[in-house]
This record gives sequence, structure tokens and C-alpha cells, in this order.
Amino acid sequence: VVEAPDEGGARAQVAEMAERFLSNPVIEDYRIVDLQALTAAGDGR
Amino acid sequence: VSEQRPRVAVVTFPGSLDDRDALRAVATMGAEPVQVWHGDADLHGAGAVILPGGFSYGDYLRTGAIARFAPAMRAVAAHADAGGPVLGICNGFQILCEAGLLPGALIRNRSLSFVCRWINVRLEGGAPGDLAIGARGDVLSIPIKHGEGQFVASRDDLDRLETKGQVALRYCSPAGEVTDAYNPNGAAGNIAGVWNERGNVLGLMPHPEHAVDPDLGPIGGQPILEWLLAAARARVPA
Repeated sequence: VVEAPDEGGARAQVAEMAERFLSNPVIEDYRIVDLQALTAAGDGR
Repeated sequence: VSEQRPRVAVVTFPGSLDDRDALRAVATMGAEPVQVWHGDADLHGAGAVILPGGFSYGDYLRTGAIARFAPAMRAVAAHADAGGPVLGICNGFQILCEAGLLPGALIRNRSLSFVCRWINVRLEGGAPGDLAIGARGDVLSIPIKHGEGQFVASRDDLDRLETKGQVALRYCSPAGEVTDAYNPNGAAGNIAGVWNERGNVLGLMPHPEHAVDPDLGPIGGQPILEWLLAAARARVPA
């Protein structure tokens, strides 16, 4: 779960994680498939 | 720090398993071994560093991917930036690649099987630093033990490694022939070890720390550790 004011901010955070840590650009590529907003209670909507 | 007996740090990560052998090998070679924990912020005055083999952080995500963020790695990077010698062995090599201190990456062996046996590597000479390992063409007998030792890099990086003399070691026959038949993991160009551009950081998949004591077997690891110690001594003011 990432916290961001909007989807663009969340997407930027996820992309940064993918580039810095979750993938190795020498051998891997990545794409963000889906982002789901959560309610304050943690439910998807 | 003694010029004759340099201090060599061996960094232990959760999951390291060759750190004790590396410490012992350093002592066998006449240097002072220094244990450094992955959470340490400095290298305790060491003039050289070994990142040992093993399975740091359980190899989760990718080999070396989590270890590169350990606090001790900030000190290792600063040491390397200042020209200090760093030797990454097996998982240490994987960590150096993930940290960007060496080019390329290590992926699963071509056979998809773990390989554990003695192999031969040929010294390629032409080290980009001031100090080389042994003589060009020398063949060293050293053990390997890895599941993810296939060195890969982009075409541009491979060309750069070749033209700048950054290929340190290649898998070969006992006579020094570099052919696919003697490539234990499918590594590009039979590459077993590479230098950084400056020549002070070396990563390799074979385990020199397991091949330094003549009472235990071949001593093909000695020239590699001798390089590390000579590089450490060269940085200490007389």
C-alpha cells in the first residue's frame, strides 16, 4: 500500500520503487498493471 | 594500520555463509581480518573489503537486491569511490552488480541447476588499475558453488568490458582454452570475474577464499587475495 494524494502520485511512487528496487534494468523490465484506491477502512473501491 | 599487515573487512549480511572462511583466508594470507556487520556504518579502519558468498537476506527478490541497501554498503561504496579495493565473491559479486559498483548482472545458471565443483579460470591481465592479478594467461584452480552465476550484460557493456580490459577471469580448460565446454553456467564470454572501470573493485563467482591453504587443496585463490592485500598496502602511507 502506498499513500498519495491522487493516482498520479501513487503511480509515481510505484514507478520509483520499481526502478530503484523491484526490478533490475540490466535483466528486467516492468509495467504498472493496475492501481486500486482504498477507502479509509482499507476497502478497495 | 600496519603497512605489512593491512586490515581487511569482511562484511557479514544475514544469510552470508562464507564470511568465516573469508576471515580465515585473510589471516592465512598474512593480513588482519576485521568483522563488519551489515548494520555497521563504517569499515572499522579497514584498507580493503571483502563481500563474501552466501545468500544475503535469503536471496529474496533477487540475489544481492536487498543487501545493496544495508548500512555497511554505504561505507563500502564510499571506500570504493575513494579508490579502496573491494573484492566481491559469488553473492558479493551479485551485490556489487546490484549496487551499481560493477556492470552487468548474475542470473540463473544455463543448466538451471546448482553447480558445485572445482573449475579453472584464466587470468586475462590488462587490469585497469595499477595492480594486476598474477600474469596474463595464468590458469587458477578455484571452486565454484552457485545457482545464479551466469554473468550477463548489455551488448554495449560487454563491448566496454572487453575493450577497457575489465574482464578479469574467464572459465577455461586446465590448459587455458576458453571454450563453451568449460563454461559452467553459460556466462557471456565465459566471464568469471570483472573489474570496475577504475580497477579497484573486483567481482567474481569462483571462491578464492576456499583455495588458499595448501594443507586443504589447490591454492588458486592466493593470487586474487594477494591482489587485494597489495592494493590495500599501496594505499597506506609509508
